This record gives sequence, C-alpha cells and structure tokens, in this order.
Amino acid sequence: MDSRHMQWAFLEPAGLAVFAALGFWVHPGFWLGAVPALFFRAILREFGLLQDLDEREYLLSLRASHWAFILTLMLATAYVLVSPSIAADRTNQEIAILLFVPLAVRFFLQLGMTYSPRRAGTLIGLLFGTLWLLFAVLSHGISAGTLSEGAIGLIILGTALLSWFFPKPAGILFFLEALVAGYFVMKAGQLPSVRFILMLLFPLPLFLCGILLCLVHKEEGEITDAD
Amino acid sequence: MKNRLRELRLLKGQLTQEELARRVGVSRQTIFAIEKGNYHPSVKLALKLARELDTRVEEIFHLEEND
Repeated sequence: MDSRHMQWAFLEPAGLAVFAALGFWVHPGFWLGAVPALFFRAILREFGLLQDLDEREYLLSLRASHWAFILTLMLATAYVLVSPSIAADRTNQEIAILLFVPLAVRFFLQLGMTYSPRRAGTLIGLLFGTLWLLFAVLSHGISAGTLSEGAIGLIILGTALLSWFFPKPAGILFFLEALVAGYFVMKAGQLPSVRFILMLLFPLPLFLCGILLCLVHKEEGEITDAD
Repeated sequence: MKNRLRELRLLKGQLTQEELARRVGVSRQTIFAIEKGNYHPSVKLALKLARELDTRVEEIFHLEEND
C-alpha cells in the first residue's frame, strides 16, 4: 500500500469491528452495517469526499470491482443451478430471483450515468412498461386477465411517453404509480422475503423513474434536447 | 501511443519517478506505468506532467501510425 493511503487504511477495519461488535452483543441486524463499512472508502470516493487514489489507481479499483461483480454473479448462479434443493426449496428460488437485482441495478445505473436524467427516466419507463405488457400477454394469453394486467403496463408506457414532453409532472405520476405498486405488494400478504423481492422488482424502477425525471432541469426539459 | 516521459524526466536534472510523482500528485507506480506505456494518463495529468517538465504535452506523448 502506498504511504499516501495509510491514514485512511484504518477506516474499513474500524467500521467492521464496530458493526461486528454491535451485531454480536446487541442485535444481529447490526451485521448489515458491516457491508457499507467494508466499502466505506469506496463510498466516500464515489461522493468525492475522499481523494486517496490517483486516476490510475482509481481506474484499477473500478476494474477490480467489475471483475469481482462478474465472478460473484457467476459463482452465485452456478451455486443456484447445481443446488439439489432448488426445485423444492422456495428460499432458493428467491435467491435465484435475487440474482437479477444486481444486474438490474447495474443496468439502471449505467443508463442513468450514460444519458441525461430525462432520457434515462423515459427509457426505463418505456422498458418497464413494455416488459409488463409482454409479461401480461405471455402469462394470460388472449383473456380478460391480459386486459386488466396489461392496462397497468399501458399506464406506465403512457407516463413514459408523457415524460418526454413534461418530465416533472410525469415524474410525479411515476412516484404515485410506485406508491400504488408498493401498496399492492404490501397488501399481497406474501412472506416478508417475497415482498422484499417484489418491492425491488415493481415499485423500485417506477420510483427511480420518478427521481430521474424530477431531477430534470428546466432547460433540459425542452423537447429539442438531443443528448 | 508512445511517450518520452522517462527521457524528458532524466533530462530535467535527473528527476526521480518518486519526485515527479509527488509533484503531480500521483503514485510512483503510476509514473512507472506511464513510462512503460501501460497506462495512458488523462489530459489533466498529461498537462501537469508537461508543466513539471517545462515542455508541451505533444513533446511527451505522440500517437502511433495505427492509433
């Protein structure tokens, strides 16, 4: 380790020790804090609060994280695929669904960083609405169920189209849709773990669209915006 | 992309990698990686290097035929 970094080197072990002690003696829930503690310096760096790496070291750190992400997903997928209890054990099925979460987060983050908030919000809305419609058609075929479920997809698509012309009102609409989706997920009476996954899959992308579209600046909201 | 960083650094009064690194705010390994052609610096770092070596960026870095 470069001597320039020594003064920051204690941050992760110290954070980890605090949360481990709290998790061990106070409540197991504190173990959750150990995860951000492990990535404390990385999180500070991303917010520009810590500049302990030069540009090459930062690039290497990002590349290492990228490979760790790929390998972790490969290992987790392999584990789920070869697990003998996968078909019988519902928990394992939930883990399999959870594997999609980091992929979705990566996809949405890249979209948000690549495009302007307005374009990213619209794209996520269009994608999510289309997927919802496809899911409705594929699961119900030509039936009344497709109409009722597909209508939700159409509302999301409509909001996404509206967002291109009126980003902020559409953003507020996305927030409302996220609230409604969240209400139905909570009302569904599923196991807490299933509800957690459903919250990640349904209200969260809508909520993200809402945030992105509400971040649009006035001048960026012009129809002529071509980024 | 090729560079003459090592040559220009030594011309500048036998400046060490460590000292140049300190002056431009990077690690010695980064200077080493640039000299070996394993890392292409940002415009900002290239400008800092040029300033420290009293030269222009184009004197340090130049594109090759196939770049």
